[in-house]
Amino acid sequence: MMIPFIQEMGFSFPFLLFVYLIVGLSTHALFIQHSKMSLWEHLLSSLFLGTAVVTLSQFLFSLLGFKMAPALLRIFLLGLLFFWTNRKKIFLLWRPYQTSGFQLLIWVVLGIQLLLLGVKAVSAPTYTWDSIAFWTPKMIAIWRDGYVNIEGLKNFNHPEYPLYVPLLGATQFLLQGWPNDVAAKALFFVIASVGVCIFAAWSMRHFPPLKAAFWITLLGSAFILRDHLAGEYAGTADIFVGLFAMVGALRILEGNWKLGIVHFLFLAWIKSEGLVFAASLASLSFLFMPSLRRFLIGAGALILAPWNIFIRTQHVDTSQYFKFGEIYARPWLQYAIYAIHAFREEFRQLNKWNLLFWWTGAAVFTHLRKCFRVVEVRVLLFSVLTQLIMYIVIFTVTPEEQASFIAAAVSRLSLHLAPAMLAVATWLFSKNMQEGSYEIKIKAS
Amino acid sequence: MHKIAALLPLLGWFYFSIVGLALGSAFFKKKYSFFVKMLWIPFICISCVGIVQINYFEILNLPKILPTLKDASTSKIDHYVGSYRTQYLQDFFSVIQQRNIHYVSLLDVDSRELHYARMYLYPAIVNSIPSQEKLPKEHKFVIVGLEKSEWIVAGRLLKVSQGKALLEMEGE
Repeated sequence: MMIPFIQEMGFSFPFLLFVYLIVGLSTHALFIQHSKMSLWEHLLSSLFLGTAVVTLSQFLFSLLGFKMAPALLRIFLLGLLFFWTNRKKIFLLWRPYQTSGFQLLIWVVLGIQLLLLGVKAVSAPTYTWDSIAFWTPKMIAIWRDGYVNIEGLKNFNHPEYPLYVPLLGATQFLLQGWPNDVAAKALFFVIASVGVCIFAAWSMRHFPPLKAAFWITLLGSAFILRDHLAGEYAGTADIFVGLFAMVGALRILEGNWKLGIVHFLFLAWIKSEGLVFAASLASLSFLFMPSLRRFLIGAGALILAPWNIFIRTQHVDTSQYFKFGEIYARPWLQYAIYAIHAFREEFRQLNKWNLLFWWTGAAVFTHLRKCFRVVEVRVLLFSVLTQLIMYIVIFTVTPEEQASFIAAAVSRLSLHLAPAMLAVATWLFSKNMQEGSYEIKIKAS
Repeated sequence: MHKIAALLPLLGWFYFSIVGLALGSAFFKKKYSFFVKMLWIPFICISCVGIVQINYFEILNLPKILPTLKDASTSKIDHYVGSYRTQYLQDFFSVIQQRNIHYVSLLDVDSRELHYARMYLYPAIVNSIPSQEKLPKEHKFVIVGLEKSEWIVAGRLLKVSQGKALLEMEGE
């Protein structure tokens, strides 16, 4: 018997994933510098990146006056054309997937876990407050208008938030013909699961199977991540900020700077909070990687600029957390200390994070010298630190009641940082780290 | 001294163990490296307990979730959203689309219903008004509960759906 939910979605779902995959493969071919990825990891990674490239292209096509359906078709055809012209380079990147029995077992266990979570994800529509206040309404608004109509989006909360999630959902609605937010949630689940699988594939490539299994399940056992993957918060953008930062970190750590930077720049397209993360990583890369400066300016202009210029020219209220005029005098130091303690307390919430932050802290403090010496780790850790400091500043200056604001936001803001921090931690514990970074190896050779 | 003592509960085993491991790895690198390695074991065990625990919770949750596989999306949405999808997306939206209505007022609703109405009636702009207030000039269309008989009598009935009515009121 066919499951009714799958029957309803028909071909729309696989077609959409195929569009993301083709565009993602082309983008990968454009930015990848070297690769030891297996075919399987390459496909996962391309699909993941493709979602961001397609949604940003949809927005750009919308600015040019194209409706959603013709825009999607053009993006798909352009992706196909680029794929075909670069097919030799793309096929060269593919390596056969060699796996041991134990690795296969890890994949089976992970697959079963994701299947269970998938059933949970599609057992309900989007229902958390943020979803019904603005994420799902924006999906419906874009689907009804057929393009990005900012005046329409101003009817909902946070019109300044970028449109990665709304465009994913709206495209699913477009292909299905009605606003089925259960299907949209299924799409979000698949994309987020792909992010987790990329981490799994990467870990298995760099660690012995038992260590890899430990890191993968540590990431999977962060309760808050599962809540955003399949539970209450599925249908919001926070998990994508965390996972894009993580995949970006993985690519940078293995020396694919351009691909990593592209992932980080897309954080600003996923959620406004990602802008600082993206900007700090880009600035640090600009500082420490002179050879990438021209690339950084180009990629930044292409990925960061469109939405941020658009909302400012359309007079969208961008002061989401505070307005300078609304800041009132308060005991600043105590407020800042309270915000720091909020994160201190959050990081040791074992029921939410297991020991994810502990392993990160332990990795950093037991490899302190290497953290400063290896450029990849240095850039990533300072970016994470900048983002964390930015959240502490926001919690300090917010005009909202501080304790309630922190209680409502601290877990999901920590989710932006946690996966990337875990990626760095695993790297610090790996053999690659002992051998030195790719940058050092390149210089030495 | 008492300030240092106050750090103990503040940082707890979570942060102190990191400091201990960092010092251990820095000072006892070669001779005692085996003992330093042993220090990691409790934390591997704690992580593994957490991993088992969380998967156990997910498995406990399965009997509730698995039966939903047989349901269609609409019934899942209705289960969570209640009657709003049928009322606003299907019944009222068709009238709003036909008559090209731009503004709709909702009488005396909670913010959850207001969010769903805004979402499902888009592109119409939806606002909530308290029961006593008069309609703004441009808002001729109002959705009220059928029990508000004074509104039903005063306006022209356009559509009724599951205990709510879409009315066209006289302009000011």
